[in-house]
Amino acid sequence: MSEPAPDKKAEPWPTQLRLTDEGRLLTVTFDSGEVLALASRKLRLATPSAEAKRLSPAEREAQIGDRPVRITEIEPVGNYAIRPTFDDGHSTGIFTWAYLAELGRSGK
Amino acid sequence: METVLIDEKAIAEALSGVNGPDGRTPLTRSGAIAGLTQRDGKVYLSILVDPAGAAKAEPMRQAAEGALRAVAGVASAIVTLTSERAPGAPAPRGHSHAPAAANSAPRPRVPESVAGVRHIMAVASGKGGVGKSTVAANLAIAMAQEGWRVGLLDADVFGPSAPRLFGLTEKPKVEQSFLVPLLAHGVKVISIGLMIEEEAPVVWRGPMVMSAVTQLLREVAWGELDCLVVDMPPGTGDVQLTLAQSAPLAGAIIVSTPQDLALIDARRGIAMFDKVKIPVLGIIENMSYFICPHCQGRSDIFAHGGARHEAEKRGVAFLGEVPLDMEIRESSDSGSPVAAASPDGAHARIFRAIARNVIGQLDAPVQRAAPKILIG
Repeated sequence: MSEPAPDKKAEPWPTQLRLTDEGRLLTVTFDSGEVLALASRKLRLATPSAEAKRLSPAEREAQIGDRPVRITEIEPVGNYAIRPTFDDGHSTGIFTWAYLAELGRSGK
Repeated sequence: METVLIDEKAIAEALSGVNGPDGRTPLTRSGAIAGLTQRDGKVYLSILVDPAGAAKAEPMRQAAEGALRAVAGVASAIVTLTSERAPGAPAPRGHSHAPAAANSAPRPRVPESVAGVRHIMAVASGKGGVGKSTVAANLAIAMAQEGWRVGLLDADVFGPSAPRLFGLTEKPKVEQSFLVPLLAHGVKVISIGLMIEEEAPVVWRGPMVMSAVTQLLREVAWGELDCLVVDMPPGTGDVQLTLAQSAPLAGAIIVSTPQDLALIDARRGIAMFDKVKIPVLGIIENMSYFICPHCQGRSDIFAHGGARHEAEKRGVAFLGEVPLDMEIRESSDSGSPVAAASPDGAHARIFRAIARNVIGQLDAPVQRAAPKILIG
């Protein structure tokens, strides 16, 4: 009766997000079977928030310091993203599925 | 890495001159310093405060910033307030309306009021005046006739039409700080129009509109529903985006008239839903044709078939054609939409067919639902 638009299958689509290690690790499972582990610290450093856009990578690092970062809360944003709250209070970054996949695959 | 290292003793000394969150104990002895880092002459300090007293802590924050800037070698200082507890401290569990950072135990958040709603579906149009609200009302009624438990949220804050369409005049009750929707034609209805006079204009700026819409979504006792139909305001602006972000929408339906002018905007609507990963369940062509009640001749006033072509081009379903008809208009204006007023008539049958299609799509397992969020 209705078929979804043809190109949508290629986009990364997570089936599960799991936060472990007291909020320090986010593991994303995609419907392709791919599983990516993302450290909360890495997510915090890579926040797509407009607030952080003006900071250089070094400034972001300095702002966070050397401590491990924890996610204290995850709010779903519609169907397409999450908005995590980090333990330093930062909560304005919206991480889309595609961005999570990109971060997870970029290694490091 | 740090080329310029500021003397930590000087920093501590400066901070000892600032009173901590309790207003008496110096910051350095208050135990409220959650983090202190420096890099290239920039100092970052975070201070732990009770979230309830965050506003009162602002003077302290400014004082600390001032004190740090006065330290030799400090080029700039950024002081932030945090309500996060130190790792290992017991995590108190508050109720779900507590401010975001108040609880340290990680957890996902889902608005309580829509917890019992299986599907949330938006009815949208790129452009106003295409009969979106009439279609949304009839579709909601037709879905209820198909046996679904249906709610209708009229999110068109500037031009709420659900009260008129459903013949509702009384104000909704408030129970335990939740609005109780009104029941009409088998559909639970809530609308901003129920809270204000029909003639009163809504003269609001964007943020007020968005908070009103969020409230209508989150603070209504919808109970158990199979589908919540959201009658979206026309266009692709703030409110539409807010809704797309704050509710897990299962899908959207686009209403358009067949003429090119309307289809251009319908395309924008589709593009917007694509962007926020909400599947477009299909397009409905409203005012599709006109049958003259006198001579039975058919006129395609706004041309015909444009929406069907558009649907094919975009790879979305075409859901049906609703004619331009006196009965639909009159029944809508009188508070008893055609799907309810003459459920066996030709027009009601069109809406029933669309309703069955939509129900089939919403229940299909191919729906890409938002992922589960698990903690721990």
